[in-house]
Amino acid sequence: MIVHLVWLLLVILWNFGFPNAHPLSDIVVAIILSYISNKLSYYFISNINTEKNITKNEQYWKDNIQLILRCLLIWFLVSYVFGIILVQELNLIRFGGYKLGFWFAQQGSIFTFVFLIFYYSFKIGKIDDKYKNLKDE
Amino acid sequence: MDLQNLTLSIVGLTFALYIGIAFWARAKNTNEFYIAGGDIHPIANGMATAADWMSAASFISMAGLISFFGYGGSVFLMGWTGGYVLLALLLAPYLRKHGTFTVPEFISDRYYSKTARVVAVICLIIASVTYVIGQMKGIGVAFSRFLEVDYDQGLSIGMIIVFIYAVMGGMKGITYTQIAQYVIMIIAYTIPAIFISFMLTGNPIPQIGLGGQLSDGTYLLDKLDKIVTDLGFDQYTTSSRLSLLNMFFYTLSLMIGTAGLPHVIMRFFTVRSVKAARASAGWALIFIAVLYTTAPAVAAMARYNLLTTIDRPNMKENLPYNERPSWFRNWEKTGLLKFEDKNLDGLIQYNNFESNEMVTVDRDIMVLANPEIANLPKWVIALVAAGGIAAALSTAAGLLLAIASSISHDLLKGVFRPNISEKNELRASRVAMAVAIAVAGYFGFNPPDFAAGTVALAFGLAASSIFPALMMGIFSKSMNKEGAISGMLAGISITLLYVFQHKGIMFIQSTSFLGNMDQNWFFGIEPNAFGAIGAIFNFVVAYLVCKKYPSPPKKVMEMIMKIRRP
Repeated sequence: MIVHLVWLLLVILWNFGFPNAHPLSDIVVAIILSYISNKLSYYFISNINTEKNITKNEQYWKDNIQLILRCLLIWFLVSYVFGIILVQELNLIRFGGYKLGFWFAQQGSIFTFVFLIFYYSFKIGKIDDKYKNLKDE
Repeated sequence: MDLQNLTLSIVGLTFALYIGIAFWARAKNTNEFYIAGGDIHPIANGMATAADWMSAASFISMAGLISFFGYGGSVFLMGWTGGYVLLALLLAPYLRKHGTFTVPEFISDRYYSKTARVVAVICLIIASVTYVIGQMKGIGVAFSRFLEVDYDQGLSIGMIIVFIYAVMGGMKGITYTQIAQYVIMIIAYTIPAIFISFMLTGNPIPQIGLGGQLSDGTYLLDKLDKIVTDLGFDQYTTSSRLSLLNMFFYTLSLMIGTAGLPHVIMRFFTVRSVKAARASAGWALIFIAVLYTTAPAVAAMARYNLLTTIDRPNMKENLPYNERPSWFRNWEKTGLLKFEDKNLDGLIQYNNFESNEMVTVDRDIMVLANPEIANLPKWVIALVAAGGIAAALSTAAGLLLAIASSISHDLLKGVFRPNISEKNELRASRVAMAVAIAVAGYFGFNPPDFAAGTVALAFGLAASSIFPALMMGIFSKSMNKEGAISGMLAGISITLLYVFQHKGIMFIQSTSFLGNMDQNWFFGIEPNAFGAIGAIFNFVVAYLVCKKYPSPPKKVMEMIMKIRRP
C-alpha cells in the first residue's frame, strides 16, 4: 500500500517537474520509479525484522542502509527536487533578496550537504556502539 | 610597484612557502615515507582533500560560468558538493575498511580478476587525463594574464612548471603543502568577494550580500535580472541550462563522478580509521563549501560590475573604447577578450543583440578580472592570481600522481611485471607523468570547452565507469566479475561515444559526425551531462550479464561481509 503511494508521489513529482517530457520517457521513468519504491519499501517496512533468524551482522547492515536511505532522501530533496524540479514554483516565494528555489540551488543545498555528512557520521557512530560486540562469524 | 611585478613576487612567495613546507615535512618524517597519511587528523586531511579537489575549474572557471549562465550554473555548485555526501555515505568508509592503496586494487580484490583491474585502470586514466586537460585551460588563462603574454605561451610556461611541480610533489609532505595551498586559495577567493560584497551591498559576508540590497534599496539579484534582460540576455535567476531534465542529469553526473574520481577517493585511504574517514569527508566538504557558497556571490557581483562598467547606468553613453580601463587592455593582450567597433561610434556596445561589439568574452577570465573590474587594491589582484595558480597546481599534481601510480603500481607491478624493481617503478611513473602532461597540454591548446566544461566531461567518464563498479562491489553480494567488467566497459564506451559524436573524435571538431547540435541530443541532454546516463547503462548491463554467470567465490563473500562491519 505504502509502496504504491510512494510510487504515485514520485510519478506526480516527475510529471510536475517535466511536463513536456516525451511520452516514452514517461513510461520509462514510471517503471524505474516503481522499481525504486519497491526496493525502498524493503528497507523501510521490514526494519522490524520479519525474518526471525536474522543475524546481528545483517541487522547492523539493515540499520545502516536505512540510515543511508533516509539521508539520501534529504540529499535528493534539497538538490534535485527543491533546486531543480520544483524550482519555478519555489521561486515564487521570496527569501530576503533571494528567490527561494534559486537559493536552494546555489546556497541551501550545499549547507544541507555539510549537515548531512556530519549527521550520518554521528548517527552511524551510535549504531556502531550498539553493535559493538559484533564478531566475525 | 606595478601590478605585474607585484603578482610575480606574491606568486614567487607562495611558491617558496610550498617548497619550504614540503622540505620541512619531509625532513621530519623520513622514516615514515609510506604512512605519511596514517596519522593525519581528519581536519587536516579534510583541508588537504579540499585543496586537492578544488581545481582551476572551481577557482577560476566555475564562478565565470555561473556569471554567464546564472541559475543554470547551479549544476556545478550542487554537483561538485553533493558528490561528497555519496562519498561519505556510500564509498569512503568501506574502501577505508578494506585498506588498499589504489582504487583499481580494490576492484581487483573485489572482482577477483586482473582483467577487472586493467579495465579500471584504463577508465581511470581516461577520466584523469580529461580532467588534467581542464586544468591546463585554467593554467593557460592564469599564466597568460599575469605574465601578460598570449594564451598559448602562457600554457607552455604553465606546462613546464606543472611538470617540475608534480615530480616534486610526488615526494612526501604533499599533504602539508596542500593545507598551505588551501589557505592561500581560500584567502585569495574570499577577500575580493568580501570587498566587493561590502562595496555593493554594505554587507561584508558574500553569502548574505548576494541576497542584499544595493545603495538605492533594490535587491542586487532583482537589479541584475533587470539589467541582463534589458540587454537581451536570459534572466539571471531563472535561466536554466537548456532544460530542467538536462540540469538534473548534469548535476547527477557531476555528483556520482565526484564519488568516482580516484584522486579524491585515495585521500580517504590515508586516515586513521573508518570513523575518521567518515568525519574527514565532512570536514573536506566544509572547507569546500566556504568557496562554493562564495562563488555564486562572486558570479553575480562580477556580472553586475562588468555590465555597469560598460553600460554606465548614470550616464547617457556607454563606455568609450578609448577610455577603457587597464584590465580591459590587459585581457585584450591575452586574446580572451575582443572588441570590434561595428558601428564605428567609438563606444562599447555589450548586449545579446546584433549590435553586440564584445565579440569574445571568455568566461574563464571572470574570476581573475573581477577584482580589477571592481577597482580593488593591486595586492588583492595579485593574490587572486596566486590563488588560481595554487588551485591548478595542487589538483594537477594530485591527478598526475593518481595517473602515475595507477600505471606503475597497478599496471606494471600489479599485472604485467610483478618483479619490477622499485627504481624502475619510480622511473615508469615519471615517464607516465610526462606523457600525461604532454597529452593534456596538446588538448589544452585546443580545449574542447571552458575549463569547467572540460572537467565536467572527466566527471562524466568517472561516473559512468568507476562509481557503479565500486557501488555494486560494496552493496551487492552477488555481483560477479563478468558483470562488473562488462558494466564498466559499456558505461565508459557509451559515454565516450556520445561525447565524441558531438564534440569530435579526440575532441577534434571537424570529426564530430553528429554535430554539436541540440536536435541530435538524446532527450536534449548535452554531452557534458551524459555521464549519469552512462552510469545507468553500466548498472543495467552489469545486472543483465551478472545473471548469466556464476556468483562470486566464497572468499569474496567473506571480504564483502568484512568491509561491511565497522
